[in-house]
Amino acid sequence: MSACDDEPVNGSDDLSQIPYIPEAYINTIPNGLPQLPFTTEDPLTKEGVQLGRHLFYDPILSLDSTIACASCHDPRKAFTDNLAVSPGVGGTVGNRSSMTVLNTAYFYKGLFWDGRAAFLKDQALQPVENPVEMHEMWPAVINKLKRHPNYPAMFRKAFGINSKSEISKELATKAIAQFERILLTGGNSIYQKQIRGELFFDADQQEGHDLYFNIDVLIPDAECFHCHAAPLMMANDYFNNGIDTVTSLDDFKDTGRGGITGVRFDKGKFKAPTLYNIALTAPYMHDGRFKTLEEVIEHYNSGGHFAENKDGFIRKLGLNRRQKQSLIAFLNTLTDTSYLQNPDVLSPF
Amino acid sequence: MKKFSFLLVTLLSLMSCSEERDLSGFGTLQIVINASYGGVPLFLGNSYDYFGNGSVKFTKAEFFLSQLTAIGESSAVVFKDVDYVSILAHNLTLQDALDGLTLNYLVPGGFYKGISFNIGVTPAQNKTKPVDYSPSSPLGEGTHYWAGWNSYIFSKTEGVLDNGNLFSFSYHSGFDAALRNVSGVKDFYIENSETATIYMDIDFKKIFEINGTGMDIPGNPQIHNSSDIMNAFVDRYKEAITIR
Repeated sequence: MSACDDEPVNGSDDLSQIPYIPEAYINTIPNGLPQLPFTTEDPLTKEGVQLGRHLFYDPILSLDSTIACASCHDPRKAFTDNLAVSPGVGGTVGNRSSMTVLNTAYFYKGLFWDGRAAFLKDQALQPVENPVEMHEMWPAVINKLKRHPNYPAMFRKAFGINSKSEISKELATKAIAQFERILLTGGNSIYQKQIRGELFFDADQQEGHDLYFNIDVLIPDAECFHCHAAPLMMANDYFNNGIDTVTSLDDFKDTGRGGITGVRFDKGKFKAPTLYNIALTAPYMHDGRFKTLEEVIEHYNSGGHFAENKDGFIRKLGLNRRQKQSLIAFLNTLTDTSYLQNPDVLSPF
Repeated sequence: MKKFSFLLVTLLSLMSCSEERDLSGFGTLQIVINASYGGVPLFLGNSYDYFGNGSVKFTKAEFFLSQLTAIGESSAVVFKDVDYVSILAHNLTLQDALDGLTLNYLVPGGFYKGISFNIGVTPAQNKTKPVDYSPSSPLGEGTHYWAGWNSYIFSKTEGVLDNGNLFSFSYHSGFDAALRNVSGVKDFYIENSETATIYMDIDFKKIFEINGTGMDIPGNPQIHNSSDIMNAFVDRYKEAITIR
């Protein structure tokens, strides 16, 4: 690691002799995707992204150095772990599935399934101290980072701090957020290539597309686009998609968004994540209850379970077997793993 | 003589008021949106009588505003090109509904005789797509757009009718033909760094009322593909709005 050359001597806290010359990071937005929000508030630098990348893949953030962010957000699994619920330190598990980190830079109305963190840097604060995730305390993490042979210099290069004592959880999560903002996907999907005229859908993909977006009045409306809207194939919003049977809004086992806002009508609502790479991120839903896309489509085709706040577009769809297969064929066109070609995205270790 | 003195004092007083107004620079125009259903404040999850045929609850009441314009005596000023209003994201309780949803806009100083705006986006705006904007801008949110229509969704009105059976409804409007202009006469001054307030009342019962009875929700739980129902719906939407 290049930071080794600039390591402070004799354990000194002083970092001011290390050059602080941050360079802007050119974040390439995938074709067909919009500009990111919040780009002026916290501009990306090469040094900030690199620090965030190291912290993301380093289990140093966890109590026993066994769990990193990447443990539950593995780039080879589209930044999920392909588990219904993820094991944390000591094998403890929570009740939610790990959502892909790809394209979360576009979330401006909250992160996590329930939106409890406003911005990426706020989101990164929470798993460290969550007992079913990293089960560590931030002061202990900061001490480990201060003692580390490389991290103090990396913090200096990223943020211009003059002393190890200035290393903080705020800077650590700011760096992780910078790294997460380069985790973008979709531009090289078949779907986007078809939009650009670089290729044509086959018949199944085309029918699935038309079902998804309700293009053709002669076939059913699968209603997908209301919550998984183009071009990001997601919503900055929360929905009850009818997966739970409840007799009243007070009966949801996992209250989701309602547990954060305190609003009764928000109970049982969860974020609609991006469908880019959905074929790679099984199992599905906030608790990983559906193992396959076929099960997901079957649920939506059934109309789900009624609740006062069930989204109006979750209704019996009347899709036949072929149409369900076509829908899955279209969902498969949303796969784009070209981010794996970007060396800045992969583990530095 | 007494009468003359009184008139003189009143006249001087009025002139003095006018002279004291600083109409330079910019001030804030505060638009307070009061949503109701038949005069009863509209808030999330509350039940309202549906024309004697069950009850209705609303879960979503949203719309685009575009070309927000302050109408002067000889000219007009567009003070906001586009905005998006989510009434029930604000009106979570009765008190929220009573307080009203407040929008604030910077407007050049001056005397104005009213405002006008569109419910929906202009044809020029409707030629663009969410990908052209950052997602946090009103036109950048993908859920505000329907690729099947090649149109932004101008308004969303969603909820549940309970008439013994439960019917979810989702009334969305779109296409350029669904654009409706609303204007209201209301004198107001925008003074430098000061705030003027006008009120926009919207009665959702009027949106659903057809010849004294409620529109057929079970028969038409959506209006996506019916231009006749949609046009009638957005006409009633316009009529349900009052500026004061």
